[in-house]
Amino acid sequence: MQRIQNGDTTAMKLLYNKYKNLLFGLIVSILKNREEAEDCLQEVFIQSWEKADQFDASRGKVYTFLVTMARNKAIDRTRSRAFKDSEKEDHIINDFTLTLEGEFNNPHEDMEFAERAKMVRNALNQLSEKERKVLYVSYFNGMSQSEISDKLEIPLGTVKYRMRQGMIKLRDMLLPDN
Amino acid sequence: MTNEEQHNDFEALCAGYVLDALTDKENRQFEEMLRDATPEQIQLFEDMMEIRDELALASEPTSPSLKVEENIMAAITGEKKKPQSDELEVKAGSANIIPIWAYQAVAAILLIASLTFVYITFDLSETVDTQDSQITDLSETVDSQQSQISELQSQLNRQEQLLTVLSGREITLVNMNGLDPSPEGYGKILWDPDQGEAVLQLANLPAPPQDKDYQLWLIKAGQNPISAGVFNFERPSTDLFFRVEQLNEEPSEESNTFAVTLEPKGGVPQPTGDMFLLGEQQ
Repeated sequence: MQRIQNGDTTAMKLLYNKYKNLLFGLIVSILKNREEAEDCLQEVFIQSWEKADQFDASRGKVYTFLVTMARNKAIDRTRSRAFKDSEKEDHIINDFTLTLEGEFNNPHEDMEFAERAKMVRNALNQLSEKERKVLYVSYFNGMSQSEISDKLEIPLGTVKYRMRQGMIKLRDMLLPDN
Repeated sequence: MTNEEQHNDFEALCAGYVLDALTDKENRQFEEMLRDATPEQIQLFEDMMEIRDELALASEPTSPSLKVEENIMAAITGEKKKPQSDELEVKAGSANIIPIWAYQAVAAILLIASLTFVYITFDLSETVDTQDSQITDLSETVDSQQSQISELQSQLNRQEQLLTVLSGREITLVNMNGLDPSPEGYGKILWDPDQGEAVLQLANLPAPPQDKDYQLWLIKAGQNPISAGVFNFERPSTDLFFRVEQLNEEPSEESNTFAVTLEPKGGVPQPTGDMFLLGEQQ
């Protein structure tokens, strides 16, 4: 990232190739539209180039920087009027796409992500379907707890309970040493 | 409330907070809890943020088309086009065919041809030098124009954001005056509470140090300051406009004050640094 901060376009190319599949998969999961997702992915990387100087390694990882930007931008798009007009209401509720054999198969590109992704998916599979659904809708649809309550037609208290339980269980499974 | 209940409450709010799923009031409640949190609770908060980021890995990795990379690289390199080299190519002249039987005539012709060739070569060389120089000038002009286009695009984006806010039904204008650290500074907020959007103008403020950002605050009567985002720029100016994306707040009926403080990079939950600008809605 430091090389990118110094304007090194080759480093930008490497960064893109390392993260493109992960971020594109994330954005597609949110937008459910390949063309829109490609536009969004483009925006993420151009902005990460333009705002590279705002990245502070002491405050977080490149992974977090990019994933947060990609998720925020994709969710912002789902909230735009034009996007809502093109969406069908029921289309946005879905479950995690749990695939243990995705495209994490390039040894140079995604080995690090492949191992972690497998652990995350295994952990999600250990949650109850209800807990998983609440986390999914929150993370991939950017919905608040009260919006989830309305959308899934369950009491707000239940949403809060399932969200807490889901996150605590994931923490116990993925970060057991903490 | 027992310690266990408080802890459960912290856990529940923490999960909602990291997923950005709480109401504004709950967000503030959690930020207050975080200020007095135990080391164990702070660890939980950091863990939950890490877990949230790991959720991205649950989506299926997918390959974008090649044009995305091409567009990105074109955008960041300014899409410089190579000069058309074929324009510069000197067409080879027709070969002189010298009849074998005309040796005697050849000497004379060769002499004339040599002199002509020297003249043409000299002339062409001058032409190529001139064109090289023109290409260098054109290349510099293109670079300069691309830079201007980028700047104009950026200005256009800012103006579009401004127009979006101005198109709101009821716009609130709040003037902010410079305080001690920078008394010559001033700023304005154009706020559309209906849409939860605003535009911030900062003028005559010094550029923040590398490890700092300016942070905008909304202070409603009797309430703690509410962060409305962080802002950064490299050169002081009078026409720095920023879109404020975190102002989805109902205005107070009593008073609404805006302030700009200098804070650690990325911002803080509550103001800690010097206040540069302050202004109240009239």
